Parts: sequence; structure tokens; C-alpha cells
Amino acid sequence: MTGSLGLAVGAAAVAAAELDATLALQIMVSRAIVIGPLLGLAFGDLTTGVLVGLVVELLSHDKLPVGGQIPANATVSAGAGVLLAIGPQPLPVSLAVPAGLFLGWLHERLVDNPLRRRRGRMSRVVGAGIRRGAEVSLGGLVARELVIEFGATLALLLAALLALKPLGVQPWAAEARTVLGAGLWTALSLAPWFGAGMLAHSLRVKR
Amino acid sequence: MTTPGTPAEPAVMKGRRPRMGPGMRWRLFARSFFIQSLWSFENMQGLAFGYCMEPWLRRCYGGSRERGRQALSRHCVFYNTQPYMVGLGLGMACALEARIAESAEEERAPLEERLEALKKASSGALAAIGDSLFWGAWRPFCAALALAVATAGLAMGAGERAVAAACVGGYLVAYNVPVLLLRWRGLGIGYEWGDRIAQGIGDIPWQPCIKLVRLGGMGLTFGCAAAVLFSIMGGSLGQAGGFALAFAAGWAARARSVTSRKMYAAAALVGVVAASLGTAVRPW
Repeated sequence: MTGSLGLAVGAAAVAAAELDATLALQIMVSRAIVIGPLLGLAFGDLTTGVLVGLVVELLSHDKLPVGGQIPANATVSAGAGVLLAIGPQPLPVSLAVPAGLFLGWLHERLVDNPLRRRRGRMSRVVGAGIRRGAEVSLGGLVARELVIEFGATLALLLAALLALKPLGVQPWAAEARTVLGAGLWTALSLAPWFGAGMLAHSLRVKR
Repeated sequence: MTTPGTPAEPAVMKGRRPRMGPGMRWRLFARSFFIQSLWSFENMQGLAFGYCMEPWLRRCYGGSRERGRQALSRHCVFYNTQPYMVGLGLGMACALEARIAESAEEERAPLEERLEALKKASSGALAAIGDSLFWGAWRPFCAALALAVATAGLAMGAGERAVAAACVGGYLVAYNVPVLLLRWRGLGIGYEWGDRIAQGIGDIPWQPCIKLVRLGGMGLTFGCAAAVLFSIMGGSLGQAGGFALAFAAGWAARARSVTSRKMYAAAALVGVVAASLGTAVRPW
């Protein structure tokens, strides 16, 4: 899969997988360690897919979607990271990973939070309707919410790709040779180790 | 034994609870995958719990639309639990709804109150267990397992595709087998338990299971880190030391609730300073 159409299909696949993170299934196809390698394989760059997926997974595994807590979206982070680093006008992976992490955080602010508040208003109306005896199709509501979340995630991903992909052809971004580039490479090199340390700590047995 | 003046025991309480057939169980099971799809800050999984209960309520109250509506509105209220544990809660709610449906009118109000109280109490207990077991132990364990598979595969010289397939496939299979089993069997077990759900939950040794999974995951993580560091040490002792320090920093950061974004930014800053001084870390 290559070209702009391929990227759009990739973004749609990420948006569909993102539904698994909270709204439906929870069979973990949304995890970075799954979505990264699969996108890499589809776009013919498995190494980048595995690298981005592994780094994002290790940095995000301890963010629990418990109760009202909404962590930065790891699916969007990994998906955007891979899509930015491969295909036409690729960004250096050292820049694509932090950009992906930022987009995961942006998804939490611009998509997850507003949609949950919207569902709160909807649930009040629907609950009152059911008590009044109105016919409410809960299955229809489920389908509608899935479509809205998919559309919002896809829109965010496409906007990010449109805005950030042109940076890939800038001379300064072609390869990390500058001081800032070296800093980003260092962060990417150390990130799996930070993440592994965090993983080990999260698995310690509490007394 | 019924004494004069007390209401007769409903039929279902005498052990004649209607059977939950495979078709119905499949419908409830399929719907339970959408328990979080209408999640909101106000009533959390409440609306979706009602959606999951719909087929069973239709069966229980097929003859009375009004009673069916009342039953649905009973379930479209605040509810929140760990999504993999919802089968147990749904099964319990089905058992009590069947009892309410077949009980005499004067017995319904206390049974409805009991159902509400049991839903509230069990959802909290199931959430606490499910969060610790699945989010806090099983998911990190499976990530560590995938890491171990990748490390072992690369050490054995397996191809990149084979390693990635084993890593992703192993992660998905290892994670989902117990999860799907619990989701499916939980419905039947919860239905069997009925209002004895608290006792049923308490009888399962959850804590030793959680401890075992955590210990296994920690062993895998330390094992992988040690194996990779050992292989790097042959090339560059300084680099291996730097990575070991980063591992320790990750542990310390997690202990102090420092976010991974801040860690990443700090590492970039270290890299910028190191590059300004003429050194940089770049293993790939």
C-alpha cells in the first residue's frame, strides 16, 4: 500500500482499530504493539512499524482507561507515528514518534473528552425517554456512537497527516543531523528502556 | 415453608429458574462487547447495560410491554465495571430479572430493590478485581511476553517477519483466550450464582492469581532487559550502562508518577545537551 490513497486507507484502519480501545470489543487490536507492526507490514516497512509500535506500547501500557480516566490515545499515537514515518514524504522516525505521542494526547482532548460529555447529555435524554415510555433503539444509538467516534478519529488523523507530512520534504527534517535531531534520536533510543523500566515497576507485587 | 399471612415463594425461587439457552447466551455475549459504547461521565456503562439486557428482558416480559419498559429503565441507570467482568454482572441481573418477572406483584418491589443493591455492590467488586487482574497485571504481562518472544526470536536469528508475526499473534492469543473464556462463561456463572454473587466472587482466589501473573511479567521484563544489555555489552560497555540507567530511570519515574511524555521530553533535552557537547546515543 503506497501513495496518498494508501495513507487514507491506513488512517481509516487506525480509526477503526481505535474503537477497540474503549467503545467496542476490547480484544486489544487497538494496542500499539499490534497496530504498529500491522501498519508497517501493510506499507512495506516492518522495521519502522515494529519500532514505533514497541516504543509507544512501552510508554503507554500503564495508562489505565479506568472509570472516568481518559489516557492519551495509544492507538492514535502508534498509528499516526507509523503513517507519518512511512509512505510518501516520510518524516524521520525520531520526529514521527513524538508527533504521534502528541496526537494521542490531542485525541484525548479533542475527541474522547467532548464525545463522552456529549454522550452524558444524550444518556439523560434517552433515560428520561425510556421512563416516559418512548420507543428507543439502543442498538441504533450504539451504532451511531461508533460511527461518530470513527469519523472524529479519522478526521483528526487525516488533518494531522495533511499538516505534518509536508515537513518530511523539508531539508532539515530529511535526516536528524542537527542538535535538535540528535536530541530526538537520543529520546527515541532511550524510550524503550524508560518504558521497560516503567513496565517492570507496574508489575511489581505490592505488599 | 409458607406460613399463613406471608406471600408465597415465587416459582423461580424454588429452583425452577428458566434456562438460559445457547441462543440467548450468544446474544448477551455479543452485546457485552459493546458495554462501553455508550459510556458517559454521568451513568458510565448504564445505557449500554440496558442494551445488553434487552434480549433477556424481551423474553421475560414478552407479554407485557409496560413491565418490559419498566425493567429496561431499571437497567439504564449508573453502572460501571471492568468490561471483561460484565458477563458475571449480566448473568446475575438476568437471574434476578427472571425471578422478578415470575413473582407475584407484592413481591416485586423488594426483589427490584435487591437487584439494584446487588448490581451496585457487585459492579464495584468486579471492577476492582478486573482492573487489578486485567489492566494491572494481565495486559502488562502480555506486553512483557511479546517482548520476550521478540528478544528470543531475534537472538535465534529468526526473520523479521516471523518475529513480528510471533510477537503480535502471541500477544493477541495469549491475551484474549482467558478474556473471552471469562466473558462467555461469566454469563452462565453469574446466572447460576444469582443473588449469591458476592459469595461466588469471594470464593475465587483472585489475589494469588494476580500475584502470580505480576511476578511472571516482572521476571520476563527483567529477563529481556538483561539479555539485551548482555548482548550490547560486548560492543559498548558505556552504551549498555546508559541503557541500564534509562531502565532504572523509567522504574523511578513510574514510582513518582512522572508521565512518559515528560520522560520523553527530558530524554530529548539530555540528547540536545549531549549533542552540543559532541556525544550522542544512537543504537540503531
